[in-house]
Amino acid sequence: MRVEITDSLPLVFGTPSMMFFDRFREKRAFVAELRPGLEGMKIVAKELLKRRIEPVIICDNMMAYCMKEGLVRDVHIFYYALNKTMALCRTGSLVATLCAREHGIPVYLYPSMPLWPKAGGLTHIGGKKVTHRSVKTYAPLFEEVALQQIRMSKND
Amino acid sequence: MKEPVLFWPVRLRGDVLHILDETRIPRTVTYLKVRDHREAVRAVKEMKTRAFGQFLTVCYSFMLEINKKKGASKEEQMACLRRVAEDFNKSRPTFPFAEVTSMVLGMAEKVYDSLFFADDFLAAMEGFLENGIRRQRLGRAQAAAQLIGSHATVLTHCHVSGEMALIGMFCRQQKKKVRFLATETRPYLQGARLTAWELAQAGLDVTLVPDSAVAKLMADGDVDCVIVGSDRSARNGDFANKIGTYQIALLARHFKVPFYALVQPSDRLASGKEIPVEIRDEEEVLAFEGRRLAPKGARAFYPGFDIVDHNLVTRLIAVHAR
Repeated sequence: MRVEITDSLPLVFGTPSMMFFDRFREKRAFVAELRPGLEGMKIVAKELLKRRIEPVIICDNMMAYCMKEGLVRDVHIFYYALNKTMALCRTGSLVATLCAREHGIPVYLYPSMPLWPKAGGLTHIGGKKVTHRSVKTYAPLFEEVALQQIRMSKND
Repeated sequence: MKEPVLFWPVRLRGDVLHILDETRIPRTVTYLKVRDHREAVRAVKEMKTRAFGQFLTVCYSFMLEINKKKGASKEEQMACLRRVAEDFNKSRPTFPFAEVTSMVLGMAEKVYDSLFFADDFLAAMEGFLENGIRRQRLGRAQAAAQLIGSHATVLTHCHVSGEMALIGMFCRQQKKKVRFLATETRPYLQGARLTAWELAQAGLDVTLVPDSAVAKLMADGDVDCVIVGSDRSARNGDFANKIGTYQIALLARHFKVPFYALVQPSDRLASGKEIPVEIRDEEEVLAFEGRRLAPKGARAFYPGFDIVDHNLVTRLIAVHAR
């Protein structure tokens, strides 16, 4: 089935704390899948479903397209550590932030769930092997996002 | 230099079209044996072949059908070619099937007055594919290799039907050391299954990275240039490619990384705004090869392509199909 998106939706990139889920008052939200562990597709989607919020999964490479098409209202990213200038976030948060800035979409920052992303895993998906064993992989788990790139910060 | 198997993924042998089943790579290299154009259309719809493979499938399907109609009248032969065109034109929206089929029909019309219409049409098609397309694609790969410096790291997205491996092989011929970063390219994982595989097969240095890591790689100074392919282009230089290309182009501009695109110029469309983007079935995101990845109740949105504005491109490297 093809999903129709008629309104602009919030985009969740990362693994939010339970407090975020409890305060999240939406009917529907884009959820980035979060390769390689697919925590977005699995954990975040499940938490939203529990709260009767419909998760619309997108692959991590679809964020800019959705923003350009006016389908994203705001972006929510999550930090593991924070100092005065930088937030340490799940890899891909910088993509979400820079693309949102390009499209004039606000980005909000919250604490992450205390869940360490899974290392490795690029060679498989859903238990199925997807590349040849001779291929090297590199999947950095975290990256820094400059706080000045985030329009507004909502620290719970 | 040996051409990578994905450089020419479709071949016509007698009355059978052999289409490389790209969905089965890297597990096996197998060819679908197609005996009529409707089976070929099905292979396209099911994405057994894509990008350049689709182009070859269309061209060879015309040749396949005209071969079977050799004893028929010219009117019947031409009507058969028109049916092939109609069926491909309805198959998928983003790839310019109508452009390719009208070009082929144009070639047929040029030789229509010949006494040996079918033979002359087949000869024209063979000449076009071998001397036009194959030679031009080799030239395009050589031109792209010229843009890469020694010890450079090239990031690529999706799969460019064998050309990325050729670019690496031309660099090696020029004694340049080049490293490739291939994005996975979810949800079909063409980067993992095809690009990384064929670069490794060619003995080139390749590392597979998640789509989400592109900004970090660029921020860390790990990318010297980006090279991508394209599925469709417009007159102003905008082009459509696999979903995620636009995102990479935006990031390349932000981090001042040169962004090159291998294109087939077209004057049919004025700009990328006229290119329709195919929205595909959500199951292709929610499941992989029949195995469900997401919890029940989750939905998914799957735009198959995106459009890259020409302003984001450092240079278009073109092959001219006509």
